[in-house]
Amino acid sequence: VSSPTPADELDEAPARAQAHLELRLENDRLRELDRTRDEFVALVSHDLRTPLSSILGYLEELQTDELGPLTETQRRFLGVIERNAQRLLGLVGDLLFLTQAETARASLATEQLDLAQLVADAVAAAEPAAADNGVELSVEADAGVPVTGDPGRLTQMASNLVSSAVKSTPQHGRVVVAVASRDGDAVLEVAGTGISFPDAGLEVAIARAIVAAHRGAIDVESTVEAGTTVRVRLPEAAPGE
Amino acid sequence: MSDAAPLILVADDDQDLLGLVVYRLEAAGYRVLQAHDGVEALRIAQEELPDVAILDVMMPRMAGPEVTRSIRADDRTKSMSVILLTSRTQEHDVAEGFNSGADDYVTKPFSPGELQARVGALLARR
Repeated sequence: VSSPTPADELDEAPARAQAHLELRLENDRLRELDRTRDEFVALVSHDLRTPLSSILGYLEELQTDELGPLTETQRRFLGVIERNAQRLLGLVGDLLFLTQAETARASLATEQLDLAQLVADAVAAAEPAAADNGVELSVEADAGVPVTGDPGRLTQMASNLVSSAVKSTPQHGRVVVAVASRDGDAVLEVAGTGISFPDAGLEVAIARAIVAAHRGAIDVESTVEAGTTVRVRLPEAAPGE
Repeated sequence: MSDAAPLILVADDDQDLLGLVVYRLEAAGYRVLQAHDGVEALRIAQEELPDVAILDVMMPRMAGPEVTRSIRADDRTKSMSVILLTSRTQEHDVAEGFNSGADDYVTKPFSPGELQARVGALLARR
């Protein structure tokens, strides 16, 4: 095998410069695409918030009773409209967060947190929905699992995973949530029994983006016999860090 | 201020949202003027000299912050209280709103009752 002579290298130089240029153009194109998408999402978010503003504002006026007394049923129905409008508003915020998390890394607070406590709160919040769906929901947690991160976003991540597990588990099924320290990682497992598949919807996509923004990993195991387990690993905060 | 109820200008290109704010403020006993774009809002602000102007940030022909700057640049209107309405929550948007000279900032979706309370607070400061 002969080593390249200086003359060969000279021949290669123009080809390498060409490849370099093509790579740079491709990068510029991708950046431009990111920018276009961000602008599009900002616009969509504005255009969705304005009608939601009217829906929620007129609802507030109806619920004050100033326009006449409401029956119990009317009040309950208005409550359903409000809950769903609020949900839609949350999704608009999630959509915006998702795009920002992928490109510029959304602005995250960094605080020393107990993942076990945060997950226990998320499970408590999902209990009414689990009861409605006839799903048994339980949590097993180590005492104190320290992580560093954004409390609001990590709570949202845990809530999204627990709530999508509850929704995708059939009636009389079981959802088991576990939090533990393992090999320097804080590990959260959400397991749903029965034949269920991870919700491919926005809730799980948001959870993925939040985990990625915290430099963690998320994986999903699904079998017909055992059901589905979503496992999140986050770097554990050193004690006293 | 005269004995008459305070005069409030509301400008938004979304007719439903405009109607909501007008309804809430009239129910609270204020006199209310309406505009559907920024140019109309500035003209009414200069002609009618309302006590408070509530301006949407994204309006056709002239955006809310620009209307605010024009209000501040005119001796007749420069002490008018201005509230901006926005659906954008990014920090630089909020900063732009305050830099233009607005007194307060309300993010959509907002509660009509809360907006009314903020109008009341600005009038009390005058």
